[in-house]
Amino acid sequence: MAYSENSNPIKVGAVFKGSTITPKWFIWEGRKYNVKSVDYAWEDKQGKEKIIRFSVSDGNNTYELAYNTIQMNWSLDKVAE
Amino acid sequence: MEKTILHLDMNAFFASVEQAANPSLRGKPIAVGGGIKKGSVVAACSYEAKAYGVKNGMSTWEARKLCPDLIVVIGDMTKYIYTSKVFTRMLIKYTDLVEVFSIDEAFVDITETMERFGGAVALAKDIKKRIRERFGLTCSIGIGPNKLMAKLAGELQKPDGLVILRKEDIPEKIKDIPVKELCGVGRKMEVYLAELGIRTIGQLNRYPRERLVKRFGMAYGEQLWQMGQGQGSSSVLPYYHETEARSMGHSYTLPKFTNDMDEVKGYLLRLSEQVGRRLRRDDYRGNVVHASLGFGDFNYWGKQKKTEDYIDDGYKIFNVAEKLIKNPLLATPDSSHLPLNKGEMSAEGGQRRLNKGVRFVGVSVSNLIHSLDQVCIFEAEEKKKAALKAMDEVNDRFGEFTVERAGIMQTALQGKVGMVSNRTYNFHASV
Repeated sequence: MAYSENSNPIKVGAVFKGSTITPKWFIWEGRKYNVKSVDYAWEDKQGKEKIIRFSVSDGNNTYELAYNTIQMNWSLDKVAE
Repeated sequence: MEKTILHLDMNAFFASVEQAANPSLRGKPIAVGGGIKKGSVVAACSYEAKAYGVKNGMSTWEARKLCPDLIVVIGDMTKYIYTSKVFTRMLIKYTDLVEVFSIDEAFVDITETMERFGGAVALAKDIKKRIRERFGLTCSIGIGPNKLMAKLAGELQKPDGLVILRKEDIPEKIKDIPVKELCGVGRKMEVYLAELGIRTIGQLNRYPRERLVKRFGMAYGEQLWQMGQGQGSSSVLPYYHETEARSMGHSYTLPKFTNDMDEVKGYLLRLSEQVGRRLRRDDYRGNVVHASLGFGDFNYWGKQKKTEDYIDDGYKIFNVAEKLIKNPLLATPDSSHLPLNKGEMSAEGGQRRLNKGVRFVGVSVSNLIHSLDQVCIFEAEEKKKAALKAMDEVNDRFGEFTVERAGIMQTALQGKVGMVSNRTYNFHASV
């Protein structure tokens, strides 16, 4: 099992409720993917910037989405192959 | 008052996290490691893989021979460190006497607080439930009168176990358990004990104290005897307790074996830089540098050197470490070597190791003091210090290795590696 790693800026629809963030869909290379399950979430740091990472599934594949809490942007960092 | 110590051990931790994060891996034999390249090793494997005989530390090639359907996943330390921090925070809700033992293990002294949670068993079940709900992970919990027995109890039922060993259960309940299951009895000690006819905890329990002391010396012989009686330390340090560091080090298991010493030196420089960065961050300097290598035959080599000055610069650490590893494979034993297998240090044995390749690189600095930053009379030294300070500031702001020496650009480590210090957990009394 390999993951292709490439940080691509993407558009994400997410619900921010209290202190939790739940990604619902994302658009990557012009295609919309609906998030069926958020399987794991963890935090990472890049210098002083906190990144929240989500391992999500669209029912077919697993993707790693990253939300930069300072720059408030999303990226798709890994795709399971 | 008898203590009640709880030991928590996450089951097949790295592999279970990967299975939780990717539903397609669940229920399948997986190994977390450096990939499927020649020479890659298994850092951790799932229970499904263990059923085929796959073990941690095995080469991926060997593991694949045992389990052709093995799925190899490249590890992601940030995920594991974060998970470890969160479950440790969960434990702090029960008591402040939580001692992190490793990234996936902790001791908790629940003597004073367990009744508030319905007793030891109810408390343990609550911890297991919360970890399962939060991460979808299982853990094994052992409960005993001291750390030794709590850890042993946890080993008795895996995965997802909950075992209690009471004082009165010792030695009857544990008499047939192999002595190697005791924390502190390694592979070599297991062999030494076998030579005395001691293979089980029951046999150790009955072995005369004075004969153990005669064979292993006062300190260790006495400790072994106590272990056989089920006795051990029950002192659990609170999570906010910070001991003064004695040494700081980083090590890395290479994704594949290598015979290329330049590649090894590249890793050594990167690790030295990481050690230097940690020393500076925590305001330490040290004057003993220790370098170690691990080989394809699972033997290790290590050597250390005292430096004239107390240092915290990664490049200076590397310069000492590099000299230490210079052709250690062909070296002959002397008093400064620390070979684990003395017979293997001959030139012939060294060449055999070289052929098997290097799989592990480590460097540490010890004899630490808190930094006394004196102004140096040499301008070049002051310029180097200023450059390091500037580098640290940039890396603090934008992330590790945003600015790095050109020499280490080819040696990216897979994921974050190294020791997980108390500071990594960044706990404060107010958590």
